[in-house]
Amino acid sequence: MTQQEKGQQKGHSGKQGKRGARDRLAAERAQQAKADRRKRQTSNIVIAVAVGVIAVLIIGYAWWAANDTGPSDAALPALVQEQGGGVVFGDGPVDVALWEDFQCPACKGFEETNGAALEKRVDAGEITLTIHPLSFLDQNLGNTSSTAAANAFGCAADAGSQQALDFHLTVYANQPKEAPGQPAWSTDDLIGWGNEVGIDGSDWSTCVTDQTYAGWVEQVAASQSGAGITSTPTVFLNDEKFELTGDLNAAIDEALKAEQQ
Amino acid sequence: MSGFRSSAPQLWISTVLRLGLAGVLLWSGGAKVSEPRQAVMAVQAYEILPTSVGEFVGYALPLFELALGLALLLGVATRVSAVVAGALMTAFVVGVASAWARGLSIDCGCFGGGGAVPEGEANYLPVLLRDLSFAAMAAWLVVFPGSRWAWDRSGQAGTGDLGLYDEWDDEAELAAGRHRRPPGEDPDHGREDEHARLQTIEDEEEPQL
Repeated sequence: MTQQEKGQQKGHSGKQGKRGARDRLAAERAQQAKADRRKRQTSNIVIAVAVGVIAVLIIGYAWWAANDTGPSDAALPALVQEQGGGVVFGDGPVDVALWEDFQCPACKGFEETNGAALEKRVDAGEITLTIHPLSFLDQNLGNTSSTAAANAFGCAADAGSQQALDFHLTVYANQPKEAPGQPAWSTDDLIGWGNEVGIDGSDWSTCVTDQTYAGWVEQVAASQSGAGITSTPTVFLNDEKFELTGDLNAAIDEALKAEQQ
Repeated sequence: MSGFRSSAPQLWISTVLRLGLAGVLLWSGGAKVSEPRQAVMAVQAYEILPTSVGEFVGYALPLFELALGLALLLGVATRVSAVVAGALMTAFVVGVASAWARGLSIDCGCFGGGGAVPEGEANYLPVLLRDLSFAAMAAWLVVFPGSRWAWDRSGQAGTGDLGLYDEWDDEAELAAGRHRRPPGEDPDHGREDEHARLQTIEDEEEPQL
């Protein structure tokens, strides 16, 4: 018979009885600690599973978004040569590529300065101008005006090179001040600006209204990050990023000269 | 990572910092999540990661910030969350410092926006100081993760601490004048009674020694 059992037999009086009580309490405490530990383990498993699920969802989404190239087989406007490609004007020896968003104020500024000169160079056969109409500002501004204008630009390309370039400049000329949550222009505005530069008829208004080239606009939007466009406008001169602090006209002249040698 | 005992002021400081850092992350994630393409542009503008990796990070980062902010808001696995948040803020500090050192002209894109900006419009110093202070907040929480209103200590599902959390200090509780939770909600429930019983026994023993 152990001390403890003796103590228990004697009841709760005396020193040994207290010892017994202490031991029982110690056992209780150990059991409590064990239960706590089990609870903690369960809780940790719950956290780990939750973290795992969230991580998989985030990684899965980002992977999908980064590899999304838009619809695989979209209707393309005339002057667009490949799925997701920009609208191509002229066939001059020097390549100029513009990445713009119709709602971007800096693009408006760029076009006011360079638009007419670039158009003239297209006409003179000096440059091949490729315009990629982006639509990321729709997300920033909470509207769909960039998409609508980019689609209309595609519709304008069906009407002809000259008309499309004029339409593109007209949209920029009418670009309102950025107003988040508000559309920058209506479908009727876009159709009317087309009329101003000589694009008429039901084909035009249907194309603008029905967003015939919405799939292509999505493709162009998806191609932006692959091209590493971190601001608009971004200009590439013969496939090299051109810093807009420089003189674009002079740089094109130089490229032309190099081409002619 | 134990040995730090909680004290009442520390609990409150940790609570404020935890909720503050949660707010920062929820705000920055929320501002970016509605404009994912801009978020990608912001990451790519740093020109640190390869284009395609930057694209992936740009899409993932806002959601990651939201998830981390939510964990801190709820006080789930506070220490681990704080370690991750501190690492994230440190990465931002390195990124911004690197952009500055390389003479890039970009918007940090910390709370939405981002991307290249015209020469002279970049403003790096306030961003660096801000991110450093966020990193310091996270560091405090790594050392003192115990805080009020946290799931970690709520006892709802045990003490959700991934085994990295200091034991609760009852004396700090009492010093703070906090009422005990009703039995059944508190993982430590019963300890006080037990302590009192032991104390009684020892008191009775005393005269005999």
